[in-house]
Amino acid sequence: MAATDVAFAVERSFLAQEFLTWLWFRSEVEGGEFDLDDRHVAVVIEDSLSLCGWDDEGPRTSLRGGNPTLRPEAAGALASGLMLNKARLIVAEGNREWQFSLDTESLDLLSVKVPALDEDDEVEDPLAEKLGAGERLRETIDLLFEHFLTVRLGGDWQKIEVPRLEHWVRVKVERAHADADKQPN
Amino acid sequence: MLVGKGSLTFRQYELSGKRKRFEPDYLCERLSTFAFAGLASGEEGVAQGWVAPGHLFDGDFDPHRLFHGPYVTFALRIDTRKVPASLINAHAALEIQAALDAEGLERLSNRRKREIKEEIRLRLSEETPPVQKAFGVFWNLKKGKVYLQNTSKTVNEAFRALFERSFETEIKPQIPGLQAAGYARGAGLLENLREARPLELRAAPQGSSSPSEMVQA
Repeated sequence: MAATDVAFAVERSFLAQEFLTWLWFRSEVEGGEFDLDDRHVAVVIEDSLSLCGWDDEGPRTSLRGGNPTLRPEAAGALASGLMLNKARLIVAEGNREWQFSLDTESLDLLSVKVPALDEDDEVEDPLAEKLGAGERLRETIDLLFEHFLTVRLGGDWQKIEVPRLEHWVRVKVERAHADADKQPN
Repeated sequence: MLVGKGSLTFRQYELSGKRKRFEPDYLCERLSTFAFAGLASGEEGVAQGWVAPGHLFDGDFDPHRLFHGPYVTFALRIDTRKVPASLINAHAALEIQAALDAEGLERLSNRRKREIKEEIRLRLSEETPPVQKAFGVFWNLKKGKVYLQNTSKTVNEAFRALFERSFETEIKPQIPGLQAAGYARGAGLLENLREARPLELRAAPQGSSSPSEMVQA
């Protein structure tokens, strides 16, 4: 790889954080269902959220357990400009489900639990089946990233998608305040 | 089993060299040529090479064991032996003091201290086993995608260098910026990608209406 290619790639690495945050938005607002090339998938941001800004030295927030995507701290982090940089996700395709963590620094797949085989499945090579399932998830994430890029690099990003994202953050913040007001003193 | 055990963590690479076809005999022969050979007894440093997917000491690159469906499976073994400097210094302190006491001296020359330290380092190297690690590799020969079951920078750099040398080809890691560039190039959106800046997301102002009537992007 040419040094210029690497430098260009590193400078565009913020797109991965935007991608994960956008997946979160789409899963909460529109149910997280996507029609990709040859598959229909559903995505859920499940747990272990890590949010940070573009500055390496800046504030960070980590949330685990108890529906972290709905917690007021998550709303506050988004409202202060932090983006999701790591999370535990579920991707479902038909009756198959993968659980995994995604790290936006590299879009590597971490701790992937592939769909369990049914007892009735006659599998010639269980290892090939498992590796194939891992690879299928990798392809799905790549297709989702391309889908995001279609939106991100298209003309409607600033006019349509960014206002929708901002409205989503506003609603989360308002909900967080409303829930806090309901708490007994 | 070094490949595919437990939950999977892996980084994806794409073959980018001119060579497109890799026959089983060629793969097994190259794996054997660049098989793990180990550190010499007492040698400090790092040694790396390929092992078959069974276990750390598996040197049997039999095609029947390596090929699973479209995948060829093997592992990268990396051994590291390094005697901690703090341990050398602690032993040296004791031996220098013993020498001073035995010879009735107040101080030893720098050269003598260096010799003592070097003897200690060699002795401890002989007694220190290397740290032995192996990382599974699965390679989809049909799709030209290679997966390394590790995401650390040093292991991936070692893997890429050895893989390219072993199989006389090139591989590119699939990292977000490069993926975006590849997609943008194909879609004619490279200029949009160049101009893209990080999103500064804030909550919409209070009282703003839902953009639901807007066409979904």
